[in-house]
Amino acid sequence: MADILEIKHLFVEYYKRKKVVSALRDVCLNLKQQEILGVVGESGCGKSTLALSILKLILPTEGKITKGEIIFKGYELWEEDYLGDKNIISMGDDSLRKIRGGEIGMIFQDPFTSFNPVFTIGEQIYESLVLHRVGKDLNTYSAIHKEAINSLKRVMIASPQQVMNSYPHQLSGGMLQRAMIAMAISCRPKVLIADEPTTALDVTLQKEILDLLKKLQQELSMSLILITHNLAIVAEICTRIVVIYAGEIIEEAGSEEIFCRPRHPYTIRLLGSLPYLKPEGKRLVVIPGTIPDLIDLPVGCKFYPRCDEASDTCLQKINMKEVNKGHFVRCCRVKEEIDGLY
Amino acid sequence: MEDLLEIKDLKKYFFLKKGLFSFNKETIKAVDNISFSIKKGEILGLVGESGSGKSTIAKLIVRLIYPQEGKIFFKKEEIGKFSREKLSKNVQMIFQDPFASLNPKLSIGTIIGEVVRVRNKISGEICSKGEVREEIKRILATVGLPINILSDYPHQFSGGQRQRIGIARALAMRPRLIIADEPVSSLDISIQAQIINLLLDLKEEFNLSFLFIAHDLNLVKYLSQRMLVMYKGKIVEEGLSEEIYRNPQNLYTQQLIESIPKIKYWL
Repeated sequence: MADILEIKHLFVEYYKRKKVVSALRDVCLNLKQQEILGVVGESGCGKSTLALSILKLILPTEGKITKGEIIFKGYELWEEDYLGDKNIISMGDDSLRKIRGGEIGMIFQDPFTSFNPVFTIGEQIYESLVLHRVGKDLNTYSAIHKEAINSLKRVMIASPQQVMNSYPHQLSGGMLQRAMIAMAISCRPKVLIADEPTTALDVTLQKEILDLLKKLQQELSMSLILITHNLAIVAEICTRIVVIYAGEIIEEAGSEEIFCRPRHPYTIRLLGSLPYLKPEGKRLVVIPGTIPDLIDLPVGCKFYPRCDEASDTCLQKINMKEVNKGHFVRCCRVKEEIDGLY
Repeated sequence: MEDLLEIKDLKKYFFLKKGLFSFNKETIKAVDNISFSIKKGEILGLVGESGSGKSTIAKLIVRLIYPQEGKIFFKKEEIGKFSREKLSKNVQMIFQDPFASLNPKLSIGTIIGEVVRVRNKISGEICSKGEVREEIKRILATVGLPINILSDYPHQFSGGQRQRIGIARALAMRPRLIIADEPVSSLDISIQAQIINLLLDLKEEFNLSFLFIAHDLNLVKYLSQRMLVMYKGKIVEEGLSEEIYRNPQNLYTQQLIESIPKIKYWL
């Protein structure tokens, strides 16, 4: 399948009290059509920054994309000037507005703070429909209304009319998250970015939302980027997984490959720290220390201070290495000892 | 084994006032006729979705709120007749949010020192300032924190470290029972494992009992031999964790276990 989104050597920096926080460094990523890509990492490692920079939503007062390209390939777009590759980073606000919501949709973590509390759900769905589809395929009020109802039905909301007329505070968390998904898919985006879509929800609701996302992804043939810290969620629905640590991609492989044959010491320990299927009495694997401060990063391998297999070779610059077909690892010792572990 | 804590027919209802001049009253049965017991040296797991009354039980046990009906017995004595000091000497709590549960205006030394002084007061020991300091340092060392942080303030620490401080504060009282209300759910995965291992170490070292409240069934199954499943203020299932996990009887428990995301490659 062809790539729909391509990120090339992306560098993002934030500025905090005159200090530079390097949130993302040299991130290369490609998203294929109709693929579910999982982005996993601990908090503060740059997952959300990655999501925000794809839509160029990083506030100019807080930080900026310093280097790199984000290329979005539009297929079957309505307007001519969209055809061909587009670099999101060099786009102006007008063209960006057409991409945001229209071509690339986004679902945020907390449904309670992401909606505007003074407008009804219906009004907020209309807004994106009016912006992206009026003048293309929807031209009457009733058509817009019907489309909004349709997208609410798609996310399995039983009484769409009632939800349309309610304000965000009147709905439960699960309902609101569904409404947010409905809003994101109402403009038929090619790519949907879900940033921790289930973290604020209960386990039973989490399952429903994940099943829904998977169903919609197939029905609307979208590509989905699922950003989460929960490895089990990723195992459930993703086809390919990217592990981020301290602003760098450290491992990238197919879902099964990551869980059965992890190669980076961080990934190996992270999987060992999960309480799943641990025999009783056996202790969890612990990664000592905490994630490094992004203002004052270690040289070379960023995991080196917490890694018990570290040696002097870890202090040089380390590049991604392909260890198996489609399996990339950023570790200089991956060929040697770690090989013996598995 | 001997029961450390026994809860009998506990009830806690909340009343919400609704409508004009609060004409309508809505009753929320947060804890509805609940009985269970915690044995000595045991980790009892308590799972349920948000709003099922898990935290209400925790608060009832440490008497931050009072029940409408029912009794709680600690070593066969009723907790309601305990003095504040006696209760806190025996039962301590670890809270969910390490950012909200530490007073930002107090240094770490003050936070833990306060507890140490109260403990000394209860037991009638007279300690010098130096001895209290030594005791604080010893406690910090047991939870794996550096001992030179006495004059630091909570905002200087990361989430995992703050949770350790919260645990140190609970341990300073040398309690018999610790109520852990979602102690790891706001922490990162790698930090979660550190805290879980710490709790297990402490349990062995001090022969503590735990009531471990969580919504993560996998975690509860890993930690505890016995667990309770709560739904809408009632206990719907109780038994050995392994058994419940393998063969849930109640419909809600089945649904809950069904919906846990599983790593299918590991099965």
